[in-house]
Amino acid sequence: MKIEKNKKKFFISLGIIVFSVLLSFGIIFQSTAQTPNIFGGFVTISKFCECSGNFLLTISSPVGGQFIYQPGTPQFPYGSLPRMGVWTLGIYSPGAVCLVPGKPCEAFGLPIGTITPIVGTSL
Amino acid sequence: MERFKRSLPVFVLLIIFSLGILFVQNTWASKTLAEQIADLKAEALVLQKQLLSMQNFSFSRDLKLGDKNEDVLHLQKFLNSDPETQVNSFGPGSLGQETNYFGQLTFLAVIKFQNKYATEVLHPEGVFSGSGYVGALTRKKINSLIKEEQETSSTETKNQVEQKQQSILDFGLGENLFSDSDEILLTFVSDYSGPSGSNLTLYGSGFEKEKNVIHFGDELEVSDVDSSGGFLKIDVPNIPSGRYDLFFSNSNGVSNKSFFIVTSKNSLPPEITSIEPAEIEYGDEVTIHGTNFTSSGNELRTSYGIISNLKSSDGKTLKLKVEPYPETPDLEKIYSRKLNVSWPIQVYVTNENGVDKKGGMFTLNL
Repeated sequence: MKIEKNKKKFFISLGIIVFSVLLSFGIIFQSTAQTPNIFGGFVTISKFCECSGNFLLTISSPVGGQFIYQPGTPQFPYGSLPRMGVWTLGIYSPGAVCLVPGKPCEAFGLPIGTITPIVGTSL
Repeated sequence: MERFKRSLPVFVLLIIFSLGILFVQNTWASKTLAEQIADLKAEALVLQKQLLSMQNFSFSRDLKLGDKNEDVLHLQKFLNSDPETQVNSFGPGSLGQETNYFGQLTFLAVIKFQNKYATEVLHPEGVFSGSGYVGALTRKKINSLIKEEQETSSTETKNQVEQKQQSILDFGLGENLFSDSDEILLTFVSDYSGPSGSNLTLYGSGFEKEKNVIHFGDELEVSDVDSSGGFLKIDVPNIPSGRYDLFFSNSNGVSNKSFFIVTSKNSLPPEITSIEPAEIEYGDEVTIHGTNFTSSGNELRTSYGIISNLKSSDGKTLKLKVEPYPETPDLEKIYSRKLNVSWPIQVYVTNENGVDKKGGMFTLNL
């Protein structure tokens, strides 16, 4: 009788543990899905894409990568993009291409997004 | 032993629930950030509308599919200022990436606008569905909406809007992004100039809770600075006026360098009042009008390069010839092609009197 009772307790505990773990993972996944497209780092390279008429910026860590800056995109102060050697921080839209002369033009680099007007820079 | 065995599942459960609570908190933090981003986007739309109204633009000619001119650029900006009539959600035509080409996306956005204001734009002509053609009635409605915006935002000066933009940047993203990194980085500063005693905040990462040191050049420093987050806050120490390399250090290492100009109490910072001509082509010269320029040692920090040691004979004008600088070496390539792109160039002046807070702008037509 006592063994039966302990078994019951054990399974109830196990059920709660499994439920808690699954709940935690669910929360993690939900959290990841909400991550906005934020980037920020130091502009190490600024290359003009001659065919597409925009700039391919290579931005260092902490949240870097290659991004497209379209000339004319408004910026918060100090409006230093696409200048090399500045810190920048902002939001990008996924989807971007840098086209350089080829036969007739070809994609260059691996930009992960295009910088939106929500972007600021150091001076 | 038996007691320990019995209480073990309870301990395990407690640990699991603690972890769960931590994750819940994490999610709440993410949600808050996501909400902030949504707010920022909404704010950006409002700012776009306000800035458009400040340009005093009004539509005076009809526009149609296939047109390519400056009015189309303004039309796209106007359409993008309303979430219901946005030209594109990302890429060409989207907010901040407006073009001067009236393509299919602009056509569809105009139809959305016409349908939204059908009673004023379509019905008087006996039409009940948008045509995508920007004729007299559509122009009239757009111009009236711009005018309305001008009236409602007339109390808000351009400067106030810019301050708001800066606060959005400070509030929304700065701390959240960089503070998570372990690298010793100095990313942004709250100000690049000010007298002794003024507040200065350094943003970045790799701060320690205590015993951070802020350096002004290699010889002057402020020790034992505490950090409660992704920033260090101090009052500028009482040191001789001049331009200093600004960086911080702690037991983890030494950061990269920014700069700070300590000004004398009575000096007034340089300020740009206007730039002529407003639009130029590559190789042209612009004249920057303003106040408090120094006879030598003025520096221009622009979107395409840093131009140092500029002279001003009268303290009110600086001359600048637009040519390639090391920070954008490809500018020469741009010049060799005709791109039909208008590139707004931001300009800020720095000198021993401090840093221009407002800056100026001219358009480089490529």
